[in-house]
Amino acid sequence: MTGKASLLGSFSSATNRPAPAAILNEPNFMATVTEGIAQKHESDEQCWSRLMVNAQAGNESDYRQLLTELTDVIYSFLRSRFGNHHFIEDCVQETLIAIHQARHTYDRHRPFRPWLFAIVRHKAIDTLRMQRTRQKVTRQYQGEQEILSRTSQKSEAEGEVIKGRLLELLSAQHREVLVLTKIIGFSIAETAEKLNISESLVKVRTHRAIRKLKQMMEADTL
Amino acid sequence: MNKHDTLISNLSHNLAPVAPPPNINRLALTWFLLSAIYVVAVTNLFGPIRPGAVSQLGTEPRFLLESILGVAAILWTSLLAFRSAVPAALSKQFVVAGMVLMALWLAQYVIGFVSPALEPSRLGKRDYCYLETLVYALPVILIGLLLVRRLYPINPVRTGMSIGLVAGMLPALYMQLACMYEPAHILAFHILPGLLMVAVGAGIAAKWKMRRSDSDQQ
Repeated sequence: MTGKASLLGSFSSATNRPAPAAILNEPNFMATVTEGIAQKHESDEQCWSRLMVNAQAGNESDYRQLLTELTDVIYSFLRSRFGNHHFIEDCVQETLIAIHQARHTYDRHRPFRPWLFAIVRHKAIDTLRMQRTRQKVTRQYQGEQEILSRTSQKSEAEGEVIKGRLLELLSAQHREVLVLTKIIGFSIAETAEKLNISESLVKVRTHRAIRKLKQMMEADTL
Repeated sequence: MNKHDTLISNLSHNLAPVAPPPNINRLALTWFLLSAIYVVAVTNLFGPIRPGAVSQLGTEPRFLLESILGVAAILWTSLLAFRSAVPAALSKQFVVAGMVLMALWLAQYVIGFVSPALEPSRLGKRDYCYLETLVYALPVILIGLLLVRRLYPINPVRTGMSIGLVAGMLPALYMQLACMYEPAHILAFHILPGLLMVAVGAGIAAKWKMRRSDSDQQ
């Protein structure tokens, strides 16, 4: 036995645990992990359902706890699909407000997750569509715009913005107009100038990109 | 405290209890039944139905099938409309089944050009059947939209279209008994005005959606 192997062997026996590689090779390992995730989902589901039912009855602390927990879940859901940028902030806020407005429609006999994510998906597209004016976002994202104004670094900045997997699935033409108009916040005219295309083409591409995103969001399974 | 914490604390502060959600299928069924009763009552109030129309339901199996398909399609669309007003309550299969039923029903009239369910005749013709279809549908649309507005339709225009379709098709279907039977007449003077109500429903819902987003922004 070599020194390294004997060291590993003594470590394993000292802790009474198999080596990490051995754990991964164990046939039941993945099944156990999957089962664990499923159990976690189930316990979240029950917990959120209970908290929402209490919230419907007017329980403030349960409602606060529910919204706090959901904020993280919504964040990670949106980040994985759209990447990490300011639009997510707006979207989480809009979704929390939508959950508040729709809380009377949650039925305890139905699962909570589909109800929640139907609202999240809808609000994500809605928020994206509403990102109209540059003024609103320029103040928060001057840094991004400065980078984009320098042609040499444009693709680098766009690369940062489009890390979400749904945006990556869009065609390059759709993605660039969507990123420039809705995420970075350029006006239609500015986008047209940057891409060297007509304003009406920018509008058409943006509309189609949002429609495509909406279809992908609807087909998206958790 | 970040802005999400502030928002959460604002939303949960003085949280008002909300009524438990209604049974969505029961609500849709009630709206459908009351609307059907209203359509039958108001149609009879403004003119007699075609002589012998009810007995034809018993003697002519294809006419009965056509009417049953109509009722089933409209009832299914009512359920679909109300389900679309609750997040995640409507499945794609449910929508497809509704569309298939509606297409099957309307296909009966197209088939009727070649082989009508009843012998075409002008017996029982109402002078303003197309106007009656439009006018009788309006209160049904408005009540339907008022009901779904209290829920949370994720796509209000689509919900409005479904409500409009039900509202338009109810009088259109009853005109099958109340007015003359002739497939071309049914399609042009009953079904077409009924389908127009889809646009009316969508229009009202779009206007309401715009007003809602304006108030959200304020």
